[in-house]
Amino acid sequence: MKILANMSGIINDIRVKEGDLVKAGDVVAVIESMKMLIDVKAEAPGLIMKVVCQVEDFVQEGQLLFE
Amino acid sequence: MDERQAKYLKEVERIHKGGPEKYHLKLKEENKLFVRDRLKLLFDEGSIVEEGTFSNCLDPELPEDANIVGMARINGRQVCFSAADFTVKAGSWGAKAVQKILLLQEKALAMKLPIIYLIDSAGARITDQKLVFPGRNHGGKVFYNQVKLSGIIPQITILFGASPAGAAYVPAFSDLVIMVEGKASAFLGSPRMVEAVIGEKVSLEELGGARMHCTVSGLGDVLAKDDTQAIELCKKYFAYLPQSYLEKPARSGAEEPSQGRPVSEIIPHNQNQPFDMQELIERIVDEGSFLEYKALFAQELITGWARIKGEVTGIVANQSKVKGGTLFVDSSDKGARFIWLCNAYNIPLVFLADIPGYMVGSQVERAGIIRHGAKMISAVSEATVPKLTLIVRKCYGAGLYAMAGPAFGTDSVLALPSALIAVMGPEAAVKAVYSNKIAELEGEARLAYVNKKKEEYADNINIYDLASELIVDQIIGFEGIREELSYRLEAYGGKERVWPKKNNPIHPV
Repeated sequence: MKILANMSGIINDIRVKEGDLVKAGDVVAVIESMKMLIDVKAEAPGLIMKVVCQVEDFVQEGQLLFE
Repeated sequence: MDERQAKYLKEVERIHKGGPEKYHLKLKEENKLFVRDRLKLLFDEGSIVEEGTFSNCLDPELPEDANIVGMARINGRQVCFSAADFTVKAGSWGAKAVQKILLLQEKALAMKLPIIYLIDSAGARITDQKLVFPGRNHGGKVFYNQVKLSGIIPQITILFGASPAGAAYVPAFSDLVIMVEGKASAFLGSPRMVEAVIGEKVSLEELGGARMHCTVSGLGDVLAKDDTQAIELCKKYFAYLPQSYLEKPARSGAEEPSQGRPVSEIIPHNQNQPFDMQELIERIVDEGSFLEYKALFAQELITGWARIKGEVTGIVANQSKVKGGTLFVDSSDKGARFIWLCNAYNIPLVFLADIPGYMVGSQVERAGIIRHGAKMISAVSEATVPKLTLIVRKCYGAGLYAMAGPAFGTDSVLALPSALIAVMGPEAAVKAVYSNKIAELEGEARLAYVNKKKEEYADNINIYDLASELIVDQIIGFEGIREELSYRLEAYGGKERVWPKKNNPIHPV
């Protein structure tokens, strides 16, 4: 299971760390794009195995953020 | 009984049964309805008049040549229909089936009647290919006619099953496509063919399933859970469309909008914070009347029909909850198509603008955001129906153009007290204009300078400033939106629709 960026932009906030359990719909990160704050949500419940982004990273839509 | 009459009735009974029992059982197993049961559900009782029932009647294996055509009524309104019978050769198109569809399309054009296509078909019958595929009056003509009819009469497709290869163009040329989840599919090459010619292994659902088309490709407009729901939805949407481009959709009695918190609470003070535009729409339209078009596709733009005091109105609104409400390639497509559809069938348009602009960056430039965005602006420009814009919050850059800003023949551009119109937002503008000065400063001084400039900029794009220059026509309060819109829709209802005559515009598609 992977969580991908839903829009290109700058990572503004990361709300989870490795080892966290998330529910479907939980906001795991916030991307700032087009001056808007875009929530990145978990689509399914699961365990955050790996965080592959950092705050202030530029990410493209579809880029891997969490595993 | 007269023996001739008895023979006739027996023949009709045989034909009405469709194909062999085993295929009827197969439909049942798959929780699908027999074509004649679908027709019964869709049309008023006793209203169905068929043509060509006896096509291929001398071949016991081909009742109706797998396709029933005729006329019928939906809630009293006359329509034409063409419906595939899956129990006969998997609903495939034979020579007579194609001939019947062509005759039906000609009648629909002559009588200006909408067409409903009920599709559940294996595509062209390969054994008949010389008689259904290449010629002047073969399959291609079905699509030629569909294009010719486009914008003259509404064409609605319900996909109950497959619509493969050539037949996949029937939904493509229809105004509204309803697909049954888990059953409907459309594709140019089947999974088997795809594997044979390009080596890709893919399931039917992934390749061309109803959900894929309604969420990703955009070919499907409405996703239904089964045959019965698809038919109910068809009737609901049909009520919002007129018989032809010569008429308006029928008006119904006005209903009050749904109750809820006040608009000033729905719209956040912070321009960067998303909110649910659906909630604002509900405060404006008659309760329960909003029917979304492509609800699951490119959700950053909401498109759909609703009644405002009984009058059918097309709504185009930015949804900041999804991708900040930014316009992308797909949402521009969605907007353009919806606007063309409304303009063709005399449905007035209301734009609710809250848009940070068109998306920027290498990904969208490569995907053609300029030409796709321009397509939506084309549609907005061409729309001569009554056209109102309400600036809800920010409206930056070409987003103002896509959402029918003042330059686009818009009858009234209204603004809420929360509105902002600018080439770009304060942050981006200050960084662009004062970049050298900002670079010279450091720490606190830089921040103070940027904030001061941002305030100055915000003052400059203040909505009262724009209203004072008559750039927007009116500022309206948070609580009177519905009345302000409905009054204007009524007033502009009789306006003369003028657009230069030409062979065809060259759309930036």
